[in-house]
Amino acid sequence: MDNQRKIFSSIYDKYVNKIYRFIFIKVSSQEIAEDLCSETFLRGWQVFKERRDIENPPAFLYQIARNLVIDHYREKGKVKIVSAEYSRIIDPKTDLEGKAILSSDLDNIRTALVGLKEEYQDVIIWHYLDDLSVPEIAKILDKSEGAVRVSLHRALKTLKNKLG
Amino acid sequence: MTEKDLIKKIQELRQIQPRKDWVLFTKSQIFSEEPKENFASVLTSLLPTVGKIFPMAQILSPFRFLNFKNLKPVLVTLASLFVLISGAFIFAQNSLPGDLLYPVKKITERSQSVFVSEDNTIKFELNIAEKRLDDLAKIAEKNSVKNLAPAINEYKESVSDVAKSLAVENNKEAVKEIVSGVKKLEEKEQQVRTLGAVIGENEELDKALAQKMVEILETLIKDLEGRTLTEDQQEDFAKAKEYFEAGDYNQALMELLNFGQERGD
Repeated sequence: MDNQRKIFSSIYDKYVNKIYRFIFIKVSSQEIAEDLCSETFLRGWQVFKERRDIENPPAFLYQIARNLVIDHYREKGKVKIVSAEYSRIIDPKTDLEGKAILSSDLDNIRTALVGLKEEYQDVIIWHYLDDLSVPEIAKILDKSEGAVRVSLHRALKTLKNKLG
Repeated sequence: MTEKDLIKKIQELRQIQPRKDWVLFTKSQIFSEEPKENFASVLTSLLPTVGKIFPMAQILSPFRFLNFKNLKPVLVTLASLFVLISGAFIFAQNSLPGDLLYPVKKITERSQSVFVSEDNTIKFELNIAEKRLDDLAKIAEKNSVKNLAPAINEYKESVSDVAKSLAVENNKEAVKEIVSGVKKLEEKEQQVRTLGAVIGENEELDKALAQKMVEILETLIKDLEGRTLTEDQQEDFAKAKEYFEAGDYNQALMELLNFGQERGD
């Protein structure tokens, strides 16, 4: 059990920032992002304890996080509103000066990104923000690598158009 | 905007970071979930071991078709219910008539009657009546107006139960104990009255007790009249008859029962 704990602890250290960011971009609330992120790792740890091994930890964690975000909007009956006002980014870095508002540039890019369809958001975040390779994304989405490349290309194009 | 510029902009979102204290706290929370082993998890974790030690027991078990992992919520619910019910029973013991948990206390007391033999039924009922009187005394001391009426009713009911048990009691020795029990009850009742509680008379009990004593005294007198007595005994017997005719059944019974003991019956 101690060994398992050590392994999962290093998985946590490695991916907690990425998973948090992935969720935060989608829910635009520090509180909700923290709740869903801790739930992601808690579920991950429970499965890891039983199975004793997870083949692809990031894919596994992103999948849980993705489902939790979907459940969050479904359960609360929330509509994803992506107006600039509602989805303004609150910087969760309290070590700077608490909840400071990020630059309007960042705000715009996040708003545009959240306005894309779910799959386009995910491929952009995973590939350009979290440095996941195309084969890794293909595994998470259970698609061919070619299909992921096409998605990435289209996602970027759509985002570019949105930003004008 | 070129594709390169766009990617650069996207990568600026890397500035979004979780709070460091939250990261540490969440990590400790995730791993602290581990030692929280409850009754259900202990039970489910023990089952495979028991199965290995006693394979036959597992085969013969009527529960072998049940998946204990699926039963975990049921076991947790049952364990919680058990704790809740035991807690209610413990707290109920200090409740008073008119309180929410008082019926639980009553059920607990009444359930003990299952273990009481027929010979001791009346003593049991007297004991309950005494407890009701104690409750009433506590309420009168606290001047708890809302509990007063239910407490008096409860006491009256318990006295009525004593009277009913007395009607079917035929043991003359037991009746002697009952007389002293009732006397004790009356003394206590008097104390409660001084605290301001209006209890009223126990007509049913007094009537049942008098009737029972008359029955027993008549049987004893009839029995002694057919016997040959010494001069002293004849004197005591005459005294007892006098008490009886004067309506002092209590004294008459004491005389006759002592008389019986002196004769070595």
